Amino acid sequence: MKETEKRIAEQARALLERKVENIDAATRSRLNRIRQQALEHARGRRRQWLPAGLVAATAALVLTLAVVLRTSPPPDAEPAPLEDLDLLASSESLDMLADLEFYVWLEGELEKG
Amino acid sequence: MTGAMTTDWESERDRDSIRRLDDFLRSVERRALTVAEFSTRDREEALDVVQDVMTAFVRRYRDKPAEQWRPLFYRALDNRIKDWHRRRQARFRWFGLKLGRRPEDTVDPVEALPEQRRPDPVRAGHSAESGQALERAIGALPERQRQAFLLRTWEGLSVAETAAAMAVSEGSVKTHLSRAMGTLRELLQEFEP
Repeated sequence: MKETEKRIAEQARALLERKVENIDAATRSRLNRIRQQALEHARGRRRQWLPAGLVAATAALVLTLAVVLRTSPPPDAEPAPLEDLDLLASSESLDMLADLEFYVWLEGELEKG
Repeated sequence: MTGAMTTDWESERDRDSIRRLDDFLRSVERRALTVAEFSTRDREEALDVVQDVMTAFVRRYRDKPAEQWRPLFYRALDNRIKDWHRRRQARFRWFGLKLGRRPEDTVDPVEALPEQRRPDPVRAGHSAESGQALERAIGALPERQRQAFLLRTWEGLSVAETAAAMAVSEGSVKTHLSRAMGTLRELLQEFEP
């Protein structure tokens, strides 16, 4: 690059940097809003999976309950043995419900955030 | 428990990715506005251009490697500026027809831009200081020359990155830049020591 061109390039860089630095506060604020709106697209895409997951989990739960109820023995069937009662009373069966509560809470937190 | 940990990890990763995107956009937004304003010569129009570019960039390119973001962002900006010129030309043609004028021709307005030379801006501001003269001279450059000049000289993109951003060959970038320098030298010669 010739000397004159180097000088022009340097002067142009300095001028443009000054121009950028001198952008007024109102315009900076608008740029900030524009940037936040654009970023909402990125946040939105990530959030949309969570409700979808929640719906899928709920549908699976409903389906499982429906199958269990349809195949459950009639009222005059033999009383359930004690080990079945133990299974029903076990805290493990509540884990899925606890997870569901967690997902509802998490969704709320993301909405707030 | 594992599910909760995975979700925490994923949300932390997402937050980190959005933070990096935010930092990048913050680093280019005012430069993008300046580039757009040279083309549109109007702050509001330039802000609209930047808004469209940021939205398009986040939608299309956010998952690309961060080292590719800068040329991709300027590619989106270059496209949007071309689009802005096309729409403006289309409006002029439409109003020209409404007024009973003959439409100019079928030449793509953006392709025609390198030949459009704005009239004598420096000599008009003969008594202005050299900084203002330089700004006018940059504004007076034909569109493609100015893009090449700004991307190479100011943004510091390589020839290959500038070519990718402008969707032209590397040879074209060199030609545009050389012509831009020639034009600026000519326009600014009276301010040379």
